[in-house]
Formats: sequence, structure tokens, C-alpha cells
Amino acid sequence: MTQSIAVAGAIANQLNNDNWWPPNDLNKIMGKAYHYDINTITNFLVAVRWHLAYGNPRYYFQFDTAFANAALGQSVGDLTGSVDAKTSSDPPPNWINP
Amino acid sequence: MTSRKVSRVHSTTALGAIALATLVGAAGAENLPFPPPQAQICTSNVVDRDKLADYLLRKYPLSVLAIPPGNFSSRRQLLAILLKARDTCTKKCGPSDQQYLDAIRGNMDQVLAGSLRTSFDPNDPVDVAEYFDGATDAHPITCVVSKEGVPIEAPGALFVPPPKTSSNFRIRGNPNQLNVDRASQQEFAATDKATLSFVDNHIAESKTTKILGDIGYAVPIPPLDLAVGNRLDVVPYLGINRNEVTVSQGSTTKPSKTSTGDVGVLASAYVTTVNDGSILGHQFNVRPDFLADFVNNSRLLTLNLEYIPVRNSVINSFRPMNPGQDFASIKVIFSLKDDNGVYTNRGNESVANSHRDYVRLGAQVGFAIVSDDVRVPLDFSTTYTGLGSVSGGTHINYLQSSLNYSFDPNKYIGLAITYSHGNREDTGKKENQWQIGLTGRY
Repeated sequence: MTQSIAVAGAIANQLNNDNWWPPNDLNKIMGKAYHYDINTITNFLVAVRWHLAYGNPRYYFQFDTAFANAALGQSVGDLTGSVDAKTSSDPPPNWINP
Repeated sequence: MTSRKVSRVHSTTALGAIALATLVGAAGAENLPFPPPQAQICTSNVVDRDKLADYLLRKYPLSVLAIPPGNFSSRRQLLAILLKARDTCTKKCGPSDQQYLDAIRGNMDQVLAGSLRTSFDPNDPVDVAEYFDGATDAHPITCVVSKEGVPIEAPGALFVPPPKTSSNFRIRGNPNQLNVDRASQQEFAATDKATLSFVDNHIAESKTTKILGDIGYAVPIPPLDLAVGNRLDVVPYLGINRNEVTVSQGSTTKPSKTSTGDVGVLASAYVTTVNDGSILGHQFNVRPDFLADFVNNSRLLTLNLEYIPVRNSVINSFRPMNPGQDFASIKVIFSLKDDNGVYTNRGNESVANSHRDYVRLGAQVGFAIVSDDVRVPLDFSTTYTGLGSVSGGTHINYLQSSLNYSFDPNKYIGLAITYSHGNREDTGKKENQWQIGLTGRY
């Protein structure tokens, strides 16, 4: 599975777990439409990170508070791209398993 | 030699045309949905890669800095090159170019992963760069139509994203909610609003003026060396609560006056724990506060502690009431509280005996419902705060319910009907009132 497909799958999976998908709408804004706040978006991103870290193959996604805040204003599609850009196939130097 | 020159002229012309067209687009990014209605990107029930690339570059226009040197004759080819060589763009592109390329990749990842299979069905998962680079008939994405041949559009194909909003400057009706940024739209919608109201009651021959609010500023905390998913917020604030009832001669209503001002800091830490992929968040609020009562001249120093568990879709998190419909969302509210107070001045003789230092333990429970229908800008919340007295004598049992009608889509200004009953958590004073007023938060 490529990194892009793994990231898209992890995000889709978590939106399903949180009851916002289906319908699978890439345009919905995470904060405004899907009701995430800074706490729940953090939980969401930690869950995505966990799924990527323990998938096969493993991918390594790192984020900080600024990223979580920005995610609230992003659509699902845009957030998928942002997560993909922060993900790598090799563990970063300061990586700690979730 | 001649043919080489011609070829170079051609590629330069093509590059120039694409660069110019792209640059013109960059002057005004269009607020377009993705994916668009099938008619815009499908040909013979298959996604047309050229149309799709054109559409994506209209939605996410790139600057001329992003255009790499080389031979390419279409936007599809340009997109394939840019998506394939991410590092090239990182070094040369502007910040928005990188952000837009990430967004293009993310949106296409979802389509190619099959998340929109009911409208756009990919034959096989493939990398987005490979998809745009491939032959016209390689890795096709089917545009799904009904038995009658009507395109089945993707959810949100006609959706226009709202503008982004965020602010460090905050006005609330409750200092415990000053850590909520307005970027957290639904959480923001459920916060208490600052109130300014004036009631002239001709029957009771009384006039009531009320001002209640807290103004704070979220201090930007530089990134700390915390584990991923953890954070710290600090919001110093000033609060005011003034409620004055004046009566005319002959009125049966008793005149009364409440006037307090307070200054404090809300420090809020958030940590997450993971158990086999299941995430539980823990928010810890610590709020030292100094409250001055200008009517009875007392001064109260408090330290309030609060623990808020957060599990998505279960507790302190919104979930749709009717999944799949933009109807309404509901959140169960729960927190544990510990309030501690020491009077540095017990005030006038009339109240000094009742002003005792205290320690209270208890919880807040309740729920909030927010309408998701833009035509019905209503939200409702109700909470019950019950704190038992460990020392000091006064128990807190405070019920507050509020129905808000918002005048603007961002819910900054609105009309609120509020009912409150019981001993207030901040002053310990009894309250039993209905109130209607203009409310605001920012």
C-alpha cells in the first residue's frame, strides 16, 4: 500500500469511527461541519497517527498544536494532503511510538 | 539544428502559456467544491485527466515559481511533474504552492483510495502522480451513473467552504471557556455568551441593568518539547458581573445590586492516552482568580481545578443526531471540579459571617445541541453543576439552560433566553431567574 493510499484510508477510517462518514464528503470543514474542536481534532490526529504507525507497511506521521489548529479550518481533502505531507516511510529522528 | 530550435521555441511557448494562465489563476483562488459535478470532469463516464487537472489548478492555482523547467504541453503533465518531484517544489515554490500541492494530493488520494466509490470508482489504487502521468486509458476512474444514466454526484459537489476564522482575543460569559478558540466552531457555539441587557418592567415598576462577561487573550505558547498530541494554553483574563435592579415608588419589587470584578489566569493542559488505537483525551484546567465584590467590599482568592475527559463521539465531543443528515449534533458534557476559596477580606458586617473559606468537590453534567441546518441558527445547552462542601458550608447546585438564536453565520451576536436556578459556582449566591438579552462572543 502506498503512503498516499494509507493516509487516505486512515483518515476515512477515523471519520467513520467518529460517525461523520458516510456520506463521504471531501468538502466538509473539520471544525465547522464535522464539529471537531481542538481537543477532538487532537484525538482524531492521534488516532490517524496510530493507525499509520501500526499498519503494514508502517508510516510515520508527526504533528504539533499549530497543525491541529490549522486542521480545524481544512476540508477533509485538504487535511488528507496536509497529513500526507507530514508523513514519511522512515521514522523521524525524534520518533516515539504512539 | 532548425528542428531543435523550433522544439525549444514550442516548449518555451507552452511553458509561458501555462505559467501565465496559472499565474492569472493564482490572483484569485476559486472557492470550488471537490470533486465537482461529473459533467465538469467526465467524458463517456470516465474521468478526463486533462479536465480534472484543469479543475484542480483552478481550485488550487499555483504561482509561476512552481513551474519547473522542461517540456510539457498540458496542465495534466505539469501536475504530474510537480506531484512526482515534491522536493523540487519544496526548494523553489512559494508557501501557498506547497500547501496547494499537498491539498491536490490529499483530495486525489481520497478519490484514488476509493473513499468516493459511489460517485467516482477507481479501478486500482495508484499514486496520484502516476495517475496524472499515465496513459489516457491507464488506471481509469469510472464516473458512476444510476440505471437511468443520471450521474451520482459526490457528497458536497455543490458545497462552498466557509471562510476560516480564529482569534487570540476572546469574550465569553464564563472564564472556564476562554481556552476555546472560535476556530473550534461547534465548541465555540456551545460556550456561554457575554451579556448586556436592560429590562424596563412597567408592571413591577422596576428597571434591571445587567453586564456579564470575561475578556481574555490567549498567550501564544512557543512549541514545547511535549509528546505529539499534547499542548498547553494560557489565557489571562478580566471579568465583570454587574446586575442592578432599581424600583420606582410604590413598586413591590425589592431593589438589589450585584457588582463584582475579577482577574485571573486560565491554564489548560491537554494530554492523550492510546489503548489499542482507541484515544482518550484528558484536559486539566487550573484557574487562579481574584474576585472583588464592590457592594459588600469582600475580596476572594480562588483556585479552581477541573478535569474534562474527551472521547470522540462519546463524551465532551459532538456527534450527529441523525448521521448522514445536516440536521443537528449533540454533545454530552461532563467534568469533575474542585473549587477552593480563601477570603482575604470578608466584607461588611452584614455578610462577613457568611463569607467562609471553602473547599468544594463535585461535577458538572449536561448536554448541548447545535443545529446544523443553516436556515435554523439555534443552539441549546443545559448544565447542572453540583459541588458538595468539604468545608465552608455552602453547597453549589446550579442549573443553567440557554437557547440561542444567532444573527450571523459565525454565531458572534445573538438573542438568548436563559434560565438559571441555584447557588452560583463563582459567588455562592442564590439565583433564580429568566433572562432574555442580546449576547455576543468573539
